[in-house]
Amino acid sequence: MNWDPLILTFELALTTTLVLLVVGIPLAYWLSKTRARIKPILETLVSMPLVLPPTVLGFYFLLAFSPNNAFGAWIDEWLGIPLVFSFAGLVLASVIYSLPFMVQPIQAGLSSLPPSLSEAAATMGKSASTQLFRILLPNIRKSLLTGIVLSFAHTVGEFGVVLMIGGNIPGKTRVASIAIYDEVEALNYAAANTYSLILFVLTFVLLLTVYLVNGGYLKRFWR
Amino acid sequence: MMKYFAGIFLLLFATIFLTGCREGRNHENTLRIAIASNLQYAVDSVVAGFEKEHEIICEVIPGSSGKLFAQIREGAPYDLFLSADMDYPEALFKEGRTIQKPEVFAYGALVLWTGRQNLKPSIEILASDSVRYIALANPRIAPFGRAAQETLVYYGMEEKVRDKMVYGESVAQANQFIQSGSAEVGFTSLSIVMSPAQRENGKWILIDTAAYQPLPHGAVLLQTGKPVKPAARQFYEYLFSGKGKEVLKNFGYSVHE
Repeated sequence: MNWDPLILTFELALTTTLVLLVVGIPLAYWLSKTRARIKPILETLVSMPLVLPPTVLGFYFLLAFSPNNAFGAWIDEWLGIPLVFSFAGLVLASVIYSLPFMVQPIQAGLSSLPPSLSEAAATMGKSASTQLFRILLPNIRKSLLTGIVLSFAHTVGEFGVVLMIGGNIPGKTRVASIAIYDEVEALNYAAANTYSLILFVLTFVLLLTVYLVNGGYLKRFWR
Repeated sequence: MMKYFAGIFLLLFATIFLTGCREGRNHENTLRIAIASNLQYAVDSVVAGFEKEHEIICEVIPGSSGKLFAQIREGAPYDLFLSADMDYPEALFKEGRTIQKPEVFAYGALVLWTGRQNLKPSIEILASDSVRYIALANPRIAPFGRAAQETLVYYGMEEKVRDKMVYGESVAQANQFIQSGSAEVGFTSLSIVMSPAQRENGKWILIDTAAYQPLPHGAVLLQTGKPVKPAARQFYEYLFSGKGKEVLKNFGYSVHE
């Protein structure tokens, strides 16, 4: 039993979720407040990964990340990391792929809060960032948890994008979903089954936790 | 409420109607041919010639030989299987999933290919710093990937290039990695670089056939649970005929004369 693909999957999901938290919270906050004209366009772009086949994203990533392209070459020179066939590339692709799963719950949570909450804070001279981190976010803990867990789970479930730009490198880009595909094709059903079962159980536990917490079943422990 | 039910009914009706249409296409003169990815361009050419002579539509399904093998074992509805080796068709034959014993219709050849203008493909260059990634098909399921790996072992390069290897799920994906420039060089089939579509792209060298086990390509008629379509037999014969062999030779395959 080779644990590398599973470990890699969770490393990828964790890194992606952390990056998404940093990127997603300000973006969701801005989207929930703004009246800018381009808001619907941005909202559409954020939601597109929900609808687009992962192969579309994978295909464009492959073209964009290739050192033959201006963008890929620039990243390569500037950061010294190639984005194709690398963990960094998978993280970037996953961040875009899972973006709606982080942004949408948080945006919905923030929009559901009464405006009086931040208005009251503002009259007491609290800055926008203090409002966000001390008042708004603590009030949408459930949405935050949903966003975090869904982003994590969605990245665990990523397949098509990784297949297109990963290159199936053991320990670097060979995540569990790819390893399963690989083992099935090599007719190694036992190994495929082990990976699949572990993912099955883990995602069940993850999502169950969200539903238990958000449904208030764990109130006693959640305080 | 009535509207709701009417809507559901319409939807169901449409679904049945549409699936009916799709099924209808798969009658006697439509063939499904599963082929190893390296055969893609060559078989397209064979099919074009064959379709011109017969009133038969061929649907070609490319994939790595191993993947197609697994799919056929699980009952994929293909009429013919053209593999990049003999092991997979032989295994299907032993399991009673074929009509007859598989036969070799062509021998493949391995090449090292680059899409980069400033690179001259050679075995030595693989170890140099100008090559960061070497694309090959997954050796576990693709015969050309296996041949590529054997080649690296033969030239004592395996250790030196271990961290550079990226695996496509088939020769087709390895091609895509090379073509997009994501990998500087890669191993693929001679038939790919000799195809009209790719002939002008990049540079390649032929790998010494001593470096890897021969690549006999096996063709076999598959059991589909129904009587064999005459069209399937016709295509099989066409593949082994002078016309079929001519096309295969044009794509760099060796054939029995």
